[in-house]
Amino acid sequence: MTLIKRNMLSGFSIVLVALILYSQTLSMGDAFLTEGIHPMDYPRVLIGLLAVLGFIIAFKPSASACSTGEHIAPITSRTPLMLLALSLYALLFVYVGFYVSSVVGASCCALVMGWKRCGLLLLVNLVGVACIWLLFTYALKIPLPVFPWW
Amino acid sequence: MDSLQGALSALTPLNLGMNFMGVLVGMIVGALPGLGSVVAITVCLPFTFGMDAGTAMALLLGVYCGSICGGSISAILINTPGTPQSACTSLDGFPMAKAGKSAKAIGWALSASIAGGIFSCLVLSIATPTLAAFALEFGALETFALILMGLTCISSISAGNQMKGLAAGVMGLLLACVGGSPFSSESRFTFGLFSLNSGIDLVPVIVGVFALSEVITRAESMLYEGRVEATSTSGVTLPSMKEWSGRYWLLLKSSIIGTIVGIMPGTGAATASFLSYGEAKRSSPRRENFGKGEPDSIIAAESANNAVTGGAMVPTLALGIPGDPVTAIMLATFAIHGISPGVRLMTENPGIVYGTFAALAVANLLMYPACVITTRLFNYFLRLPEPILMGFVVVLCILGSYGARGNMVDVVVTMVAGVLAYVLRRQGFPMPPIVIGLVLGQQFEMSIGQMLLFKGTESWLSFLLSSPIAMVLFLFSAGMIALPVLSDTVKRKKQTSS
Repeated sequence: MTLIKRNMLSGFSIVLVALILYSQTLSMGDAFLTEGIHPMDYPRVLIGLLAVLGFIIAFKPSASACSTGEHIAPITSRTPLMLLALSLYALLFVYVGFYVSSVVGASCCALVMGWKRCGLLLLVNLVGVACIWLLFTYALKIPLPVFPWW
Repeated sequence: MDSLQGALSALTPLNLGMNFMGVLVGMIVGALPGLGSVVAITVCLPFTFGMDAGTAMALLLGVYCGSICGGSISAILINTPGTPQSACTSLDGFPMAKAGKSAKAIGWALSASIAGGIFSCLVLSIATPTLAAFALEFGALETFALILMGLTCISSISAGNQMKGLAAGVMGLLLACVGGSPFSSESRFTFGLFSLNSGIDLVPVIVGVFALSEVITRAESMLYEGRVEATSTSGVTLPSMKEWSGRYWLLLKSSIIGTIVGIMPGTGAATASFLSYGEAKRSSPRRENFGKGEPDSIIAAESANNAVTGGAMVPTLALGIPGDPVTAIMLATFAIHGISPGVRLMTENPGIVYGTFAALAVANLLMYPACVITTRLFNYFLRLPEPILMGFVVVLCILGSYGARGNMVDVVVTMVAGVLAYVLRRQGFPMPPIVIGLVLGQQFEMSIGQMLLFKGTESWLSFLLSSPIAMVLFLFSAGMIALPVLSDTVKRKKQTSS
């Protein structure tokens, strides 16, 4: 993708986000005013500014065409797999608690990143996650979510 | 005499031992992503019940200093800021670590932290009553001007990429709008999710933006570049005096920024580190190297965030006003031991006050051995093969975002922030402005509202002219916006003429 196309895509995406956010501000028409200040006044100004910036980025590539100096690798097949692994982890964390989800999540991430020795991976993750569990539960006294049937 | 005895009490073996334990525990907890000073101090608070006030303060101040510095270790080694205030440190600390200079990066962070902390202690011991009076001068207009100055950092941070930087900053400000309005408490941008009523916490966003997006990027780069060398550390290498030359002014300036921000109730170390980073990026002779592993950036962020520790004690001790949750716990500890901080504490109980100053100074010095131990512990973790290490980084990210408030929504916020940050990074948007917007957003909106209320029917001109402090801060803000633009224009003209 050329830089100009990339900036146009970014700019129009920002304008779209601004429109969605603006639609949210309309739902609070009869809100309580504090000294004449509506709760959505400030966000509306920000949304307007975001939309203007979006247009500038889209139509004036020269102003925003410089890269951040950061090397960006092309998208690979690993990206959607990694996103899937992360989503699976978050979902499991909510429903089956910390221990099981973390072992599964960490193993999936390592497998996506190219690790092949499954037995060793499982062992390291079982022990490592258990250590983290002990640290948080007993040393730091932070209760972690547990498997609902536990 | 009482003052001297109080100061010397920080050097008794028991107090020194407790101080060191505090620094070590604080540093380890601070290095765990998401668990900042509040968690570290809360863990240690029950142990202080059986101690006298001086020993209790030595322990808690050690935890406070250690946790702020500890966040930089994970920020440098695994690009996962342990605390929001160390987010800036990762911008140049991690590139240094990737280049095989992690020990040096930690050395820069540690020495800047110690210098910043000691500086604020010195200021604290000399000028607490005066500074407390100065803090009281800060009304709505002055706070607005200070936060505006913080936001103008976005301009210098995004030099060369101004529009995308500004857009990212506005996104951060909008993220800060999620939840109840600061005036009417009506919910905004919650999309029907009850859990978002309390707003978006800073920790999950920072963890997602910096750490999770890095994991996704690394998964890609490993496929293209083969194995990416995991960062490892051979400990802590303090920079030599020769390396420090030309950087003393930056250190002093950042420490002053940190101390002043610390004095203002409700601002905090994250604000200080971003303000200082922005100023360093504007004024450093090596600003072109920022983002590629420049020590100036680490010095600016670390000295400022650690200088906040001393500054934050000014309103706490002299006025009895806690500026943040950490100093609120400190205040509670004083109350538990029958001491009431406030205007009269300085005259009625100088021993306690100067004992606190001395304990804070000692805690800063003890950070060196504690950092060596913590870095060695981290080294075992970093010896894991890259894919397994990244798996554990993800676990720590999720845990950090959950542990901050015990809220499942924060886990989802981390994931969403990580994916969005990855997409934005690919599109060339700088990440720090989002965090700056989120850090300062709520205070900014609140200060705008308060300013409008206080202004009433008065004309804008007379209202603005009524505060010299605000005028100075506005001028600084204008300078911070104009200077990068002017220097870019001059550079371009020079290039075209040559």
